[in-house]
Amino acid sequence: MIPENLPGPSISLKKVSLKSGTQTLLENISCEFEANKWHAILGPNGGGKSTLLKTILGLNNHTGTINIDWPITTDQPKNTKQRIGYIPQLMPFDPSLPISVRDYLLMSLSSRPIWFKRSLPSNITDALKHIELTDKLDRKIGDLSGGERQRLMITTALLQNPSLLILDEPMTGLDRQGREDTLRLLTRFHKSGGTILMVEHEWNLVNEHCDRAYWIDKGLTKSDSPSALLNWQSQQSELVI
Amino acid sequence: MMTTVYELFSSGVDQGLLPQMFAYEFLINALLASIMIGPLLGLLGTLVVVKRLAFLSEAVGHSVLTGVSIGILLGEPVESPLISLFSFSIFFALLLQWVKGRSTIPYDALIGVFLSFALAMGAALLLYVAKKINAHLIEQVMFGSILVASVGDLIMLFTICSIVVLLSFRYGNHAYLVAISPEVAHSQRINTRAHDYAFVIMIALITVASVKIIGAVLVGALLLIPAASARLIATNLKQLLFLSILFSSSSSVLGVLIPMYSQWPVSAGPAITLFACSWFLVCLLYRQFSLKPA
Repeated sequence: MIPENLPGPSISLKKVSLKSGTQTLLENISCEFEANKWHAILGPNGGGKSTLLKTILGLNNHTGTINIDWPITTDQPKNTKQRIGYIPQLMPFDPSLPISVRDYLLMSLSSRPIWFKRSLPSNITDALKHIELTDKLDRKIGDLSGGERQRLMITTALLQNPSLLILDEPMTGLDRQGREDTLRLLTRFHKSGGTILMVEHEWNLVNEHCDRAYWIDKGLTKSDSPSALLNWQSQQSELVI
Repeated sequence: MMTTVYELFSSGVDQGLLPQMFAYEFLINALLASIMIGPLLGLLGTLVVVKRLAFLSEAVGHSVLTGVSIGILLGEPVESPLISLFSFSIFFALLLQWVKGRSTIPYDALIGVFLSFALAMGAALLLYVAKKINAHLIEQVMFGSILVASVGDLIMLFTICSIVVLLSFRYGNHAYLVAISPEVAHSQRINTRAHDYAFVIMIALITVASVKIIGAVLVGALLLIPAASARLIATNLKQLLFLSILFSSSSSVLGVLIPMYSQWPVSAGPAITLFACSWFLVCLLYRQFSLKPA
């Protein structure tokens, strides 16, 4: 499911700000997310972490510049050029809609109309076997458990052969097995050269897997290695208490 | 070509295979129009329901009243002021989408404002031009009529049908992904803004093309009710689409034929809408007794 030698991009932000009416959502953020690294974004609730991800995706009208620098290589795998996989924080649509697992896969991964061709290519059925959703192919997504939905969203994103993954709390709703499966996929993606930007609350996970961590509270407060940022955060908490 | 079609129906009547009413050319025109309108509204209705934009089509439908009045004021033919109708409805839909992209007002509230404006402006202008036109024209615009569909209207409908079918085969999957999750669609480099504008333009085109048969007041109902009925019992998008097209097409055809056959004094628009509502009731009962509650 994940090719070798992914051309993971670097991302640079220069003086990025975002306002909604009089409210400041992001303030003067300048930082560099290195290529081929696993970056964690942490911060308090309402601090602008999800907003930052959406701004990088180009969903918000911000000021300042965001540059995604896609490397030009000759040996990169097919179809990985400038592709982004995005997993939103919550299920991205109304679960009561009659949209089956097959529908979602077809509309995301196939160019042929969903009512025209309903069979799935072998790479997709193999991936479904891996996440144990083969027997739920024709079930409504709204009827899946939270963990099953999350696995489906992550697998669908990976099947598009991205070289940049943007994940908003991807472990939400996953049981232990689901977390292990997801982390295994993300680790393989990272080792293949992909760049990951991930909003996450769990320090242990960040400390164990990520290369660099960023503390966002409207603006960029601090960026460092995960362990150093954890120490800094602990000191800040003690100061507040 | 239409002469051949009329002769075909006429010979069916002569041989006793078809009821007498098929000898009338206006009925055949209305029937052919309903055969094209039904699938078209059923298809787009699924996007209306998935996007939760039921009142968008209502607002665009009401803009037709203003479009007709402006056309008559500008000297277009009273029976068919098509240039003003298309221009105003498309302008209205594009303006709505443009304002949506530049304000923080919830979309349903914005549609409500536009709907009220369209209705008020249309009513004011229609009263102003009423002295120039037959009062029945206002009734036709509001509730539709099977008497007024011309060969030109059929050609227009066929053209719009062809465009929508071609676009749905090329961009159908993307359109549904944009409808259910614009953020995920955007991350896949799908131009969500172009899809949103194309969607409102298609709604405007189809509304205007359908208005002669169904009427400005009720055209939104046929975009909404068949797809809403299908949503009650469908378990996937393919079922949603085909059931919506089935309900919409059958309602359109029955709404044109049954009142004429039974000599009911009911306009086509209300008849079509009532048949669509019957499908909604059937689906509601089916869901109630066969599936788990909504």
